[in-house]
Amino acid sequence: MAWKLYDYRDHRGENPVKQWCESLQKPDLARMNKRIDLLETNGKDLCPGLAGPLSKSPHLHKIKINGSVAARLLLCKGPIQMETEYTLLLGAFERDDELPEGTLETAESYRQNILRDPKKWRSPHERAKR
Amino acid sequence: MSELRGNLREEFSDKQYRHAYADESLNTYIATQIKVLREQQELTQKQLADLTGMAQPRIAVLEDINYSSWSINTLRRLAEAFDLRLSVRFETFSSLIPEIETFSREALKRDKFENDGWFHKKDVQPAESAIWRAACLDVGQELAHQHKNSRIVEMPRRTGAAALAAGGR
Repeated sequence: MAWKLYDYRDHRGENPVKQWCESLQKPDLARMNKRIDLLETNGKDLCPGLAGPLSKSPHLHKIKINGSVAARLLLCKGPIQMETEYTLLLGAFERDDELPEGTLETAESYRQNILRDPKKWRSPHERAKR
Repeated sequence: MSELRGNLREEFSDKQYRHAYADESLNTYIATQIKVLREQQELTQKQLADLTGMAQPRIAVLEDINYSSWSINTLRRLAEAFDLRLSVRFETFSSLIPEIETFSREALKRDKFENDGWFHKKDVQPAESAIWRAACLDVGQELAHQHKNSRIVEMPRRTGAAALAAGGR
Protein backbone atom coordinates (compact mmCIF):
# COMPACT_ATOMS: atom_id res chain seq x y z
CA MET A 1 0.00 0.00 0.00
CA ALA A 2 1.35 3.43 -0.94
CA TRP A 3 1.40 6.20 1.66
CA LYS A 4 0.92 9.89 1.02
CA LEU A 5 3.85 11.99 2.19
CA TYR A 6 3.79 15.65 3.21
CA ASP A 7 6.49 18.17 4.17
CA TYR A 8 6.13 20.78 6.89
CA ARG A 9 5.91 24.39 5.63
CA ASP A 10 7.21 27.21 7.82
CA HIS A 11 5.50 30.59 8.42
CA ARG A 12 7.09 31.96 5.20
CA GLY A 13 5.63 29.07 3.21
CA GLU A 14 9.09 27.59 2.66
CA ASN A 15 9.98 23.90 2.88
CA PRO A 16 12.69 23.46 5.55
CA VAL A 17 12.74 19.66 5.17
CA LYS A 18 13.62 19.91 1.48
CA GLN A 19 16.21 22.63 2.17
CA TRP A 20 17.81 20.52 4.90
CA CYS A 21 17.90 17.39 2.69
CA GLU A 22 19.51 19.43 -0.10
CA SER A 23 22.26 20.48 2.33
CA LEU A 24 23.34 16.83 2.71
CA GLN A 25 26.29 15.44 0.77
CA LYS A 26 25.24 13.48 -2.30
CA PRO A 27 25.64 9.94 -0.87
CA ASP A 28 23.77 10.96 2.29
CA LEU A 29 21.01 12.50 0.20
CA ALA A 30 20.76 9.24 -1.80
CA ARG A 31 20.44 7.25 1.44
CA MET A 32 17.81 9.66 2.76
CA ASN A 33 15.81 9.57 -0.48
CA LYS A 34 15.92 5.76 -0.42
CA ARG A 35 14.46 5.77 3.12
CA ILE A 36 11.77 8.26 2.10
CA ASP A 37 10.94 6.12 -0.97
CA LEU A 38 10.53 3.09 1.31
CA LEU A 39 8.27 5.02 3.65
CA GLU A 40 6.12 6.08 0.70
CA THR A 41 5.85 2.61 -0.87
CA ASN A 42 5.63 0.39 2.22
CA GLY A 43 5.05 2.54 5.31
CA LYS A 44 7.35 2.18 8.28
CA ASP A 45 6.40 -1.31 9.49
CA LEU A 46 7.79 -3.69 6.85
CA CYS A 47 11.44 -2.65 7.27
CA PRO A 48 12.76 -2.88 10.85
CA GLY A 49 14.63 0.27 11.85
CA LEU A 50 13.22 2.45 9.06
CA ALA A 51 11.48 5.03 11.25
CA GLY A 52 11.68 4.07 14.88
CA PRO A 53 9.47 5.75 17.49
CA LEU A 54 11.05 8.19 19.94
CA SER A 55 10.60 7.24 23.58
CA LYS A 56 10.55 10.89 24.69
CA SER A 57 7.94 11.92 22.09
CA PRO A 58 5.40 9.19 21.36
CA HIS A 59 3.96 10.88 18.26
CA LEU A 60 7.34 11.36 16.58
CA HIS A 61 9.47 8.94 14.57
CA LYS A 62 13.06 9.21 13.36
CA ILE A 63 14.73 8.18 10.11
CA LYS A 64 18.47 7.85 10.65
CA ILE A 65 21.27 7.91 8.13
CA ASN A 66 24.71 6.77 9.14
CA GLY A 67 26.82 8.38 6.47
CA SER A 68 29.39 11.13 6.71
CA VAL A 69 27.16 12.75 9.37
CA ALA A 70 24.47 11.40 11.70
CA ALA A 71 21.55 12.89 9.79
CA ARG A 72 18.13 12.43 11.35
CA LEU A 73 14.74 13.24 9.88
CA LEU A 74 11.85 13.61 12.32
CA LEU A 75 8.36 12.77 11.13
CA CYS A 76 4.95 11.79 12.37
CA LYS A 77 2.21 9.47 11.24
CA GLY A 78 -0.72 11.49 9.91
CA PRO A 79 -1.35 13.68 11.76
CA ILE A 80 -4.63 14.19 9.88
CA GLN A 81 -5.20 10.78 8.22
CA MET A 82 -3.39 8.41 10.56
CA GLU A 83 -3.66 5.31 8.37
CA THR A 84 -2.61 6.77 5.04
CA GLU A 85 -0.14 9.63 5.61
CA TYR A 86 3.21 10.60 7.04
CA THR A 87 4.43 14.17 7.47
CA LEU A 88 8.15 14.98 7.41
CA LEU A 89 8.72 17.65 10.04
CA LEU A 90 12.33 18.53 10.67
CA GLY A 91 15.90 17.52 9.82
CA ALA A 92 18.73 17.60 12.37
CA PHE A 93 22.22 16.20 13.02
CA GLU A 94 22.91 14.06 16.07
CA ARG A 95 26.11 14.38 18.11
CA ASP A 96 27.05 11.64 20.57
CA ASP A 97 23.69 9.97 19.87
CA GLU A 98 21.82 13.10 20.97
CA LEU A 99 19.70 15.48 18.94
CA PRO A 100 20.39 19.20 19.52
CA GLU A 101 18.48 20.58 22.48
CA GLY A 102 14.95 21.66 21.65
CA THR A 103 14.68 19.59 18.44
CA LEU A 104 11.94 17.29 19.71
CA GLU A 105 9.96 20.22 21.12
CA THR A 106 10.23 22.07 17.81
CA ALA A 107 9.09 19.01 15.86
CA GLU A 108 6.17 18.51 18.21
CA SER A 109 5.16 22.17 17.85
CA TYR A 110 5.22 21.72 14.06
CA ARG A 111 2.94 18.71 14.41
CA GLN A 112 0.56 20.78 16.54
CA ASN A 113 0.57 23.57 13.91
CA ILE A 114 -0.44 21.03 11.25
CA LEU A 115 -3.22 19.64 13.44
CA ARG A 116 -4.60 23.18 13.78
CA ASP A 117 -4.33 24.17 10.12
CA PRO A 118 -3.01 21.47 7.75
CA LYS A 119 -3.50 23.56 4.60
CA LYS A 120 -1.26 26.32 5.93
CA TRP A 121 1.48 24.25 7.56
CA ARG A 122 2.16 21.42 5.14
CA SER A 123 2.20 20.53 1.45
CA PRO A 124 2.80 17.35 -0.58
CA HIS A 125 6.35 16.01 -0.24
CA GLU A 126 8.92 17.46 -2.64
CA ARG A 127 11.93 15.30 -3.46
CA ALA A 128 15.27 16.90 -2.64
CA LYS A 129 17.72 17.01 -5.54
CA ARG A 130 21.26 18.24 -6.03
CA MET B 1 6.88 6.06 -16.45
CA SER B 2 6.19 6.20 -12.69
CA GLU B 3 7.35 9.24 -10.74
CA LEU B 4 9.89 7.14 -8.81
CA ARG B 5 11.24 5.59 -12.02
CA GLY B 6 11.63 9.07 -13.54
CA ASN B 7 13.43 10.38 -10.45
CA LEU B 8 15.84 7.45 -10.30
CA ARG B 9 16.59 7.63 -13.99
CA GLU B 10 17.71 11.22 -13.54
CA GLU B 11 19.45 10.76 -10.17
CA PHE B 12 21.37 7.62 -11.17
CA SER B 13 23.34 9.58 -13.75
CA ASP B 14 25.53 10.55 -10.78
CA LYS B 15 27.89 7.72 -9.78
CA GLN B 16 28.15 8.59 -6.07
CA TYR B 17 24.39 8.87 -5.83
CA ARG B 18 23.56 5.57 -7.55
CA HIS B 19 26.09 3.58 -5.53
CA ALA B 20 24.84 5.01 -2.23
CA TYR B 21 21.21 4.41 -3.21
CA ALA B 22 21.97 0.84 -4.32
CA ASP B 23 23.94 0.10 -1.13
CA GLU B 24 21.03 1.32 0.91
CA SER B 25 18.65 -0.82 -1.16
CA LEU B 26 20.83 -3.89 -0.58
CA ASN B 27 20.95 -3.36 3.19
CA THR B 28 17.21 -2.84 3.25
CA TYR B 29 16.52 -5.90 1.13
CA ILE B 30 18.66 -8.31 3.15
CA ALA B 31 17.62 -7.12 6.61
CA THR B 32 13.93 -7.10 5.71
CA GLN B 33 14.11 -10.48 3.98
CA ILE B 34 15.72 -12.09 7.04
CA LYS B 35 12.82 -10.85 9.16
CA VAL B 36 10.18 -11.87 6.58
CA LEU B 37 11.68 -15.36 6.15
CA ARG B 38 11.94 -15.85 9.91
CA GLU B 39 8.27 -14.91 10.29
CA GLN B 40 7.29 -17.05 7.27
CA GLN B 41 8.91 -20.04 8.99
CA GLU B 42 7.29 -19.04 12.30
CA LEU B 43 10.60 -18.76 14.11
CA THR B 44 11.40 -16.41 16.98
CA GLN B 45 14.68 -14.50 16.91
CA LYS B 46 15.89 -16.87 19.66
CA GLN B 47 15.03 -19.96 17.60
CA LEU B 48 16.79 -18.55 14.54
CA ALA B 49 19.76 -17.68 16.73
CA ASP B 50 19.92 -21.29 17.96
CA LEU B 51 19.72 -22.62 14.38
CA THR B 52 22.56 -20.38 13.23
CA GLY B 53 24.72 -20.58 16.34
CA MET B 54 24.41 -16.84 16.92
CA ALA B 55 23.06 -14.90 19.89
CA GLN B 56 19.52 -13.48 19.75
CA PRO B 57 20.66 -9.83 19.91
CA ARG B 58 22.82 -10.51 16.85
CA ILE B 59 19.71 -11.59 14.91
CA ALA B 60 17.99 -8.35 15.98
CA VAL B 61 20.95 -6.39 14.59
CA LEU B 62 20.90 -8.31 11.28
CA GLU B 63 17.17 -7.60 10.91
CA ASP B 64 17.73 -3.84 11.24
CA ILE B 65 18.04 -1.97 7.94
CA ASN B 66 20.65 0.31 9.51
CA TYR B 67 23.12 -2.61 9.56
CA SER B 68 25.58 -2.64 6.68
CA SER B 69 28.57 -4.88 7.55
CA TRP B 70 27.33 -8.06 5.89
CA SER B 71 29.57 -11.08 5.51
CA ILE B 72 28.88 -13.86 3.05
CA ASN B 73 29.68 -16.38 5.77
CA THR B 74 26.93 -15.01 8.04
CA LEU B 75 24.47 -15.00 5.15
CA ARG B 76 25.40 -18.63 4.36
CA ARG B 77 24.62 -19.64 7.93
CA LEU B 78 21.24 -17.93 7.69
CA ALA B 79 20.55 -19.57 4.31
CA GLU B 80 21.27 -22.99 5.79
CA ALA B 81 19.03 -22.27 8.79
CA PHE B 82 16.20 -21.25 6.42
CA ASP B 83 17.00 -24.22 4.12
CA LEU B 84 17.33 -21.86 1.15
CA ARG B 85 20.19 -21.21 -1.23
CA LEU B 86 22.15 -17.98 -1.00
CA SER B 87 22.55 -16.03 -4.23
CA VAL B 88 25.20 -13.29 -4.45
CA ARG B 89 25.83 -11.70 -7.84
CA PHE B 90 26.74 -8.49 -9.61
CA GLU B 91 23.87 -6.76 -11.38
CA THR B 92 23.17 -3.74 -13.57
CA PHE B 93 21.67 -0.65 -12.01
CA SER B 94 18.60 -0.89 -14.24
CA SER B 95 17.76 -4.26 -12.68
CA LEU B 96 17.32 -2.45 -9.36
CA ILE B 97 14.29 -0.52 -10.58
CA PRO B 98 11.77 -3.39 -10.79
CA GLU B 99 13.18 -4.75 -7.52
CA ILE B 100 12.36 -1.45 -5.83
CA GLU B 101 8.93 -1.24 -7.44
CA THR B 102 7.89 -4.75 -6.38
CA PHE B 103 9.46 -4.65 -2.92
CA SER B 104 6.90 -6.04 -0.46
CA ARG B 105 6.48 -8.74 2.18
CA GLU B 106 5.11 -11.19 -0.41
CA ALA B 107 7.97 -10.54 -2.83
CA LEU B 108 10.53 -11.37 -0.12
CA LYS B 109 9.02 -14.71 0.90
CA ARG B 110 10.68 -17.95 -0.26
CA ASP B 111 9.68 -21.59 0.27
CA LYS B 112 12.27 -23.71 2.05
CA PHE B 113 13.34 -26.96 0.42
CA GLU B 114 10.64 -29.15 1.98
CA ASN B 115 7.98 -26.80 0.57
CA ASP B 116 9.75 -26.23 -2.75
CA GLY B 117 7.09 -27.84 -4.95
CA TRP B 118 9.27 -28.78 -7.90
CA PHE B 119 11.28 -31.28 -5.84
CA HIS B 120 8.29 -33.00 -4.32
CA LYS B 121 5.79 -33.41 -7.16
CA LYS B 122 5.56 -36.77 -8.92
CA ASP B 123 4.89 -35.26 -12.35
CA VAL B 124 7.58 -32.66 -12.86
CA GLN B 125 7.20 -32.35 -16.62
CA PRO B 126 5.60 -28.88 -16.71
CA ALA B 127 8.17 -27.47 -14.32
CA GLU B 128 11.00 -29.17 -16.18
CA SER B 129 9.72 -27.76 -19.43
CA ALA B 130 9.52 -24.31 -17.90
CA ILE B 131 13.07 -24.57 -16.55
CA TRP B 132 14.32 -25.90 -19.89
CA ARG B 133 12.61 -23.05 -21.77
CA ALA B 134 14.08 -20.52 -19.34
CA ALA B 135 17.55 -22.06 -19.73
CA CYS B 136 17.26 -21.92 -23.53
CA LEU B 137 16.13 -18.32 -23.33
CA ASP B 138 19.13 -17.46 -21.11
CA VAL B 139 21.52 -19.18 -23.51
CA GLY B 140 19.87 -17.43 -26.46
CA GLN B 141 20.17 -14.04 -24.80
CA GLU B 142 23.78 -14.71 -23.86
CA LEU B 143 24.64 -15.71 -27.43
CA ALA B 144 22.87 -12.65 -28.80
CA HIS B 145 24.79 -10.48 -26.34
CA GLN B 146 28.12 -12.09 -27.29
CA HIS B 147 27.32 -11.69 -30.96
CA LYS B 148 26.43 -8.01 -30.48
CA ASN B 149 29.68 -7.31 -28.63
CA SER B 150 31.91 -9.52 -30.72
CA ARG B 151 34.69 -7.87 -32.69
CA ILE B 152 35.19 -10.98 -34.78
CA VAL B 153 33.60 -10.50 -38.17
CA GLU B 154 32.39 -13.81 -39.44
CA MET B 155 33.08 -14.25 -43.16
CA PRO B 156 30.21 -15.74 -45.13
CA ARG B 157 31.08 -19.24 -46.25
CA ARG B 158 31.63 -19.49 -49.96
CA THR B 159 29.58 -22.24 -51.37
CA GLY B 160 28.22 -23.31 -54.72
CA ALA B 161 28.41 -20.71 -57.49
CA ALA B 162 30.25 -18.18 -55.33
CA ALA B 163 32.98 -20.71 -54.57
CA LEU B 164 33.29 -21.62 -58.23
CA ALA B 165 33.45 -17.95 -59.26
CA ALA B 166 36.27 -17.47 -56.75
CA GLY B 167 38.25 -20.23 -58.38
CA GLY B 168 37.08 -23.10 -56.25
CA ARG B 169 38.93 -21.85 -53.15
